[in-house]
Amino acid sequence: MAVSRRLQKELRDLQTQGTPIGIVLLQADDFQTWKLSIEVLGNTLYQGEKFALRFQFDSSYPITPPAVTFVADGEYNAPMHPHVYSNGHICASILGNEWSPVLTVAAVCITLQSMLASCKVSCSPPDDQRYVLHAPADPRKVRSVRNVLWTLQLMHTPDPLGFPWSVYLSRGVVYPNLTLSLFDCRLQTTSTPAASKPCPMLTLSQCIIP
Amino acid sequence: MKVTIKNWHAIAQWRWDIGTNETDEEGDVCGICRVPYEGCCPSCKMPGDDCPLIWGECSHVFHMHCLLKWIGTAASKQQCPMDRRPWVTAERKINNNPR
Repeated sequence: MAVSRRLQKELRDLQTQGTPIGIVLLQADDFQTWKLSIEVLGNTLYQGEKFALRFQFDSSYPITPPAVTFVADGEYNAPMHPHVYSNGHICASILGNEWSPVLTVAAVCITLQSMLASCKVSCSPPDDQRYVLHAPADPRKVRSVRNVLWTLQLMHTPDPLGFPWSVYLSRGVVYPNLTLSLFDCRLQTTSTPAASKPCPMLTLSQCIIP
Repeated sequence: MKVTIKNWHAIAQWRWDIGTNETDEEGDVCGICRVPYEGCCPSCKMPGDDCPLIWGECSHVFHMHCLLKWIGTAASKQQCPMDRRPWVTAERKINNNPR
């Protein structure tokens, strides 16, 4: 109920005051899933291309962020961008760690528009194939796993072999390239001979207590 | 002509004193739920003292219930939703009676 009231207001604003330039509301039949098309105007790498964004809201929106992905269904494709996986998942801080409940659908669209507009090299993320193979349907789940591993990293500076190998796993990652691929534990572990087992399900409680 | 008043009823309007003299027709809204300050947060039914506002040292104002819901999540990192500065409730405002 709470969710639809806030979304109703957003929808009314979009319908009465219009969407931002380059953004068109394609579908907002309910308060669970919305679709908007997005174009990047001006002289950019994505000139003439049109993408679509899917927003999925749960009942705690806007306290929790919506799940936002680019539509990649054949009709629309995800943009080639270092922060956009080919399945449409987006690596953007405001959709995860940096979410704030004062952000709106329109504000997210504008942010993503400028993320595309400022792109200099049109390419997929380096771990795209691997990521797409193992990514969960809800991109927000990826971030939570990443955050857990980060927490562990900060809590312990362990002897790698003395700690559960999931901790070792997080140590094995090069910091500047810390990306969503951390979710893909199995592939990461192949680089460490001591841990050739597949990654068990990581949950918060399992991880906090090593 | 003589006018005799037979009947009358008074109408009053109230507003939270948010420290501005703005009498914006739309009124200001809570940035979290987008409901006017004089309305109530999504979990309340009656506006007024039961659904008060909360002021931060950073000067941002929200429905108290909306802000507490946000601050109560780990994801908030106890930051103001507007400027991401650490949330500090401005004490002096809290017990002020509405005008």
